[in-house]
Amino acid sequence: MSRHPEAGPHGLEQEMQEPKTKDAALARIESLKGQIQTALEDPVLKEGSEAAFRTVANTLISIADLFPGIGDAASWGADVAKVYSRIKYKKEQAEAVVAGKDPKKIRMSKLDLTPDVSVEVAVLTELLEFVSIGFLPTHAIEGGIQLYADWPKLKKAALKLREMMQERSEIIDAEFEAIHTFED
Amino acid sequence: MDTQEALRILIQNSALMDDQKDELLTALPDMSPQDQHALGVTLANQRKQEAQQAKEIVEKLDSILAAQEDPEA
Repeated sequence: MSRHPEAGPHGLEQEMQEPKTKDAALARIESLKGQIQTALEDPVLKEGSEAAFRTVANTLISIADLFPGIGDAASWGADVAKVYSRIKYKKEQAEAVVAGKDPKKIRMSKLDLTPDVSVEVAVLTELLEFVSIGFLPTHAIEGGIQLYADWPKLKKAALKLREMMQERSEIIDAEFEAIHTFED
Repeated sequence: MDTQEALRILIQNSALMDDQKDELLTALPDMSPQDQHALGVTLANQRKQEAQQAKEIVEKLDSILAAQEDPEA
């Protein structure tokens, strides 16, 4: 695949006037859908996007956790979700064994925002809430441990995304010629 | 390069999903010249925008990854 020498920042920067037709509008929307789907089909990017979602969610819960009452509800809610996810995961694994399927293929529910933090650590950190009368953002401890575990996944996803974007940023010779066919 | 050949290349290289690419390629011979031109202009613009955006994303990712490698830089 060769990149066209004129396809740099100045070679194709002139936008053509785009006719408004049903096909054109649909192509635009479908292209965006296609880009998102292609990205999410990649296992590295999927894992990275899940890690990014967890990081954002844990950060928001940790901020909410600064405020007694509502913050405690969010933090405890995350722990309840963790316990529920673990019970469901173990149940599904047991069912898979009975059904003769591979239990390793069962994935933990995404409800658990800190899958790399044990239930014990999650619950014990909540005890610090009582000491600080709810002012200490204890969920940040779990969030921090999870971010440490997720960091390599985030970095791997960033490198994969870079590779994909690098490929899409290069316009090959045949495409360059095709684009020029529609320029007046 | 004629319009249909150019459209085929643009459809194949677009970010559309495979089934939609097939659908468009099948419908291509029955499209009016006006619709073919409209689709061609849209796909060409999209590809140029996508290439430019992809280039900007690569630059941003490079700066983020470089900062992460060397936090004091």
